[in-house]
Amino acid sequence: MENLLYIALFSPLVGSLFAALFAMSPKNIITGIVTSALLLISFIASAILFEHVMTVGAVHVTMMDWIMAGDMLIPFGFLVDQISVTMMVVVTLVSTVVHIYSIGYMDHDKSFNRFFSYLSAFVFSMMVLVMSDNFLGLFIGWEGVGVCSWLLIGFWYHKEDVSRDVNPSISPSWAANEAFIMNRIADLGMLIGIFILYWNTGSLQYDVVFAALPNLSDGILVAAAIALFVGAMGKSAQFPLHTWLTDAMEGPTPVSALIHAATMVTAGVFLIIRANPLYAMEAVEWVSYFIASLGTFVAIFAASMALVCRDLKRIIAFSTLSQLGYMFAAAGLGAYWIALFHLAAHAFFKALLFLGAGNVMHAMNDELDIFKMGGLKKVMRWTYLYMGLASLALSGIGIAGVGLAGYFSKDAIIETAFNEQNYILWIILIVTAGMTAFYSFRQVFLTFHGSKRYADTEIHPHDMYKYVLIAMSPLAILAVIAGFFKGWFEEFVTVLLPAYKMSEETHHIAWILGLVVIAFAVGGIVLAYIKYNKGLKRNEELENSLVYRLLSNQYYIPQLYDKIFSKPYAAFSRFSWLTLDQKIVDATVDGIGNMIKTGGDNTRKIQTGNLSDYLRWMARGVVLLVIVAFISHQLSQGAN
Amino acid sequence: MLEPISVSLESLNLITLSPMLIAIGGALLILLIDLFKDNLDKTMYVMLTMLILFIDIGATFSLNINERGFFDLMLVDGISVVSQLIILVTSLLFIPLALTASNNRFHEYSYPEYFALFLFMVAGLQFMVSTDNLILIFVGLETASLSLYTLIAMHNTKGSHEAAIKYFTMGAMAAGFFLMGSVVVYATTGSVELYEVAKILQSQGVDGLSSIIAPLGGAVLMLVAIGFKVSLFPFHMWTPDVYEGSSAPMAGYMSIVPKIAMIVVAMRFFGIYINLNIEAVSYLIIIVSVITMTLSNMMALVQKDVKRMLAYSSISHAGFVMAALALGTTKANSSIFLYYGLFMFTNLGAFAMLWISRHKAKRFHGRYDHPYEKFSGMISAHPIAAVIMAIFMLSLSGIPPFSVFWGKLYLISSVVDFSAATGESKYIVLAIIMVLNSAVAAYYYLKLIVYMFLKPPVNELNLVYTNKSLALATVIGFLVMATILSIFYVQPLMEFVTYLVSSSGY
Amino acid sequence: MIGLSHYLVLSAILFSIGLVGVLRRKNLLMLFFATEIMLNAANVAFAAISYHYNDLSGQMFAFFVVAVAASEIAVGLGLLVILYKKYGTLDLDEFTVMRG
Repeated sequence: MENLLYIALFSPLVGSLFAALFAMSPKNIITGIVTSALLLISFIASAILFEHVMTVGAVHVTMMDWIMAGDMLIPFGFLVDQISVTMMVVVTLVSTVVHIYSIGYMDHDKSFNRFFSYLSAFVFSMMVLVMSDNFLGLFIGWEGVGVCSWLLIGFWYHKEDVSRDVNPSISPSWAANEAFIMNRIADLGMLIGIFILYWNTGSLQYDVVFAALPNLSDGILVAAAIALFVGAMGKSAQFPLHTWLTDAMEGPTPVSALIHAATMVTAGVFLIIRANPLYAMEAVEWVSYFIASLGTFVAIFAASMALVCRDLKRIIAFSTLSQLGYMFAAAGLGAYWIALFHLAAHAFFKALLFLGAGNVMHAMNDELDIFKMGGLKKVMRWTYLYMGLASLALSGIGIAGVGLAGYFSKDAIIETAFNEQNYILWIILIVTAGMTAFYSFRQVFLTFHGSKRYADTEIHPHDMYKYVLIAMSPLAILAVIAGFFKGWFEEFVTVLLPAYKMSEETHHIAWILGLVVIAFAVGGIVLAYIKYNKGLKRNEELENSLVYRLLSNQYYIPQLYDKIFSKPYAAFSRFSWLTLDQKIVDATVDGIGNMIKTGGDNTRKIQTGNLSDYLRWMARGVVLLVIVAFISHQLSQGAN
Repeated sequence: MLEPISVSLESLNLITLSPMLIAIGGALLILLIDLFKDNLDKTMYVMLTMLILFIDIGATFSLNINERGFFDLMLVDGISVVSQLIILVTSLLFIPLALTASNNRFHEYSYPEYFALFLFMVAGLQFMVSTDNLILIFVGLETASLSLYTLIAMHNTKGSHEAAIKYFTMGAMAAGFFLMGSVVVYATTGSVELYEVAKILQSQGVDGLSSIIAPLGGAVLMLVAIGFKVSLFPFHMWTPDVYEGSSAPMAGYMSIVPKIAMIVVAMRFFGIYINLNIEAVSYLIIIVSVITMTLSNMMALVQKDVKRMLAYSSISHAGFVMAALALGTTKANSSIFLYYGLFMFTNLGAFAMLWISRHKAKRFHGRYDHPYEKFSGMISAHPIAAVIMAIFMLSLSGIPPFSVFWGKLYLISSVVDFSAATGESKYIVLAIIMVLNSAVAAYYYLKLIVYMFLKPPVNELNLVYTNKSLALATVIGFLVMATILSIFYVQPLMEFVTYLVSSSGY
Repeated sequence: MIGLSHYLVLSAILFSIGLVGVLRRKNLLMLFFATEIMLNAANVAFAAISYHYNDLSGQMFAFFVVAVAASEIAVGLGLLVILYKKYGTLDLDEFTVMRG
């Protein structure tokens, strides 16, 4: 099993290095094929490991003793248990699909090979993140995915900056930097959390740390829990660190599908699930409750912005945010396995949705404004099907135990809120479910139904390559059937995670609760159908209303950040550069440099080249030595 | 009536002499071959010399540590072995540099005498480090020096003659000071054997001005001779001129081998004072070292010729090392040998890089062979050579993970440790001065990198690697690898050196 | 009675004469003479101290110094000859190409 583990872990790395060999050369289809094949191998290895974990149990290997400094011993080991193997399967499966998809999508890009190198490097980092058996390895992977995310968002770094007023999008490099910097801020919190744990438990190994938790004081537990959650907030783009995720849509669409929907952004949720013994402690109860509340808030907050958004990818990005909120709500309420289940199910249908959006973009010459689309269902039959399915899954359509993936996972979260008798959260989550259905289908109808609003342009849309569409099918199938594995999955992961069961009462009225959710979801879809199926009728009055503008400007939060953080910081940097650095620091440094140089010029004069002078200097040296010796003698006598 | 002199062969312990005898025998063999057969190709002599040096290394390795031999004149201890190894390895890397591409360009190598003299010099240096008798030290020193003067002059340019005569005259004066130093030591203790001297000084006591003035005077006179050879201010004046005048490999060789030999002598001689807790001598050495490293760094800063810059830089490195010598701890002494061992790879490499670009006609400057301008824009014409040179420069400026960095690290940490052990904060000041000097030094090394990588070529004259040959490329390749991969062997090397140094009580 | 101190003073005087010669003389040949005087000053002292301590090593040292001095002057004269051929002079002030 150990070998399988290494195969699963290192084949993406091999692929990345292989593609890197060709980084400077023109497009070579080989890089795409090799990296995809290696990921497939990684996926198969992960699947076998999954089976192994299910039947036999967790695999734990220690590769080497990594850091040995004084008392500090950090073995670099990997742990494949129920949690990590679930993540491994999800990550490698989605990655494989996205890799194959990218062969088609990046077809015309001149940096084709570089793209695959980055993409595989990302998968490797993600695998390190989920497989590590200690916090430091997790952090390494955490930073690794951050770097890869930066590289990939900024993949088209040559695009110019565009002002926010012209276009809600800015530029890839700007977005990449924003994502990276915001994550750095959050990572600091995470690092502090790791330090706190190490300081107080003397180890970074999960098992050792968690075993030592009951001995720690409440204050330390709370501090560690908060600090770690700050890290999770950054990576999973929770309010107020959420703005980077929508801007990250500047990257190529496969990147959005893989990194900013299915895998990397869920790392925060993964961290909370991983650290569940910490968050389940009684002392940190209110932190968990805060996580649930924040998650619920983000769910509705993001969904509200999605309602009016016109950008195809951003709508999906807002929906990702919103679903991450659901996951945090579940995790915060203690239903870790439900959070993990929603994470996996969401990965499938959200990746599918993004890849579908990629198909649309590909067909529409990179047009993103859904107001300029419409009627695509005739030309893009398969994509229509995929995106429709994914939207249905996202909306959680289903009844009486039969439904798409989202029906099972999201309903469970809403039910959990009810079960915890937290009716405020419950209502908000239900409303959000309705909103989710509305914006998803608003997007579907505007894109695929109605009249061809692009008719007056030169665009002739066509569907994606066959093999790309086929490659997407596993995701579509999983988006449909994943929900049926719920019971089985629960049995599998609750070996490790706390089993969360609904109370008797909730169980009894579960069907009513389900009906309420469905009612909201269907209501949303119907509303979207009425409004958008026939085509786009713009309502000037509505679009100029305060609420609409507030929503479409993302509550003015990006502008606010720009005003209170970016601008003052830039002004301060300018001041430091012009005044502090140039006038004071540079002048001092230059002064010292010139002084030394002048000294050198002067000393150099004694080197006259004349032997007599040299000999005289030797004689002077003798005198000098005698004087110095005398002084030294006096010094040493004085010292005694 | 006189007793018949009988000496048993065992008591002579001739094995202690074997390394030097091999070198001398090899030199005589070369002279003999020349006597019987003229006009042999220099390659043959190069190979023969290398073979002899190999055998010499083997003999040095087979020595037992802490033995005396030959009427107790010879002393084979740890520092003797380690310094002999440095000397021999450097020689082994130096000799193949004679195999330049064109056979008759530098005709000093076409004389077999060159190789014979070289081996005599090696033997002289080996004698110098493996004895604690002032007579033998003097004889070894002069044997080596006289051979060295001749080797420099054999380069046979105007500059080399001037260099040789400057070195020679100052060397003769330094020899006078060495002798006067010995006279003072002999007069106060009645012995020229350093271990005897130590004992007698111990028993005489060194308290009070009257009893210390003579030993202190001896130390001052000796420091003149040692400072000359190691190139401490103000006895360093010959260094830049001699380096400039002699061939580049010879300059690189001189910046290591004669210095390490003299440092061993200094270790033995000043070790007596340090063991007797005569702090004045430590202060004296430290003050001179600090002045040396600071002034030479300043002068290196304003040089226009790379070779001259390297000369001043090697003076500053010597100042660095001498400062640690004044501490007298095992760690400091081991660090000195480690430092020179690692510095050797880099510095010899840098000089070898100058050597392969040496052209008889001075095409870039009226006087200098290697002005900075010669290297400008080198990255576009000779990318690999530029990168190699850059690695050597980075290493010299002490940037990790290249070799000299580790030397500096151990050296400075030995100073800091000493400060911690004695609780004297002034040694922290010394460490800070050493670090500051390293920072200044980085400037002139990086200047060359700036020239190579960032400046456009000044004129159409392309830098030509006239002398490049397989032998030179091999040596440089080896030196580069040793510089880059130092991180992997520095730990075992330090352990080996520390073992040798500590086993003989230094 | 002439004692050790007299010899040592003589040695010191000789050494100083040699040193002054080295510093003042501009002719290379004279410089060589001066360095020889310095070496021989040491020899006088060695011989005297050796007698004083009744220890042979000082005299041995003196013998070795004589031998070394001889070979040194041989090498020195060799250099001097080539130098004269190249420059046509033995004046130290002429050999100042390398400086700075």
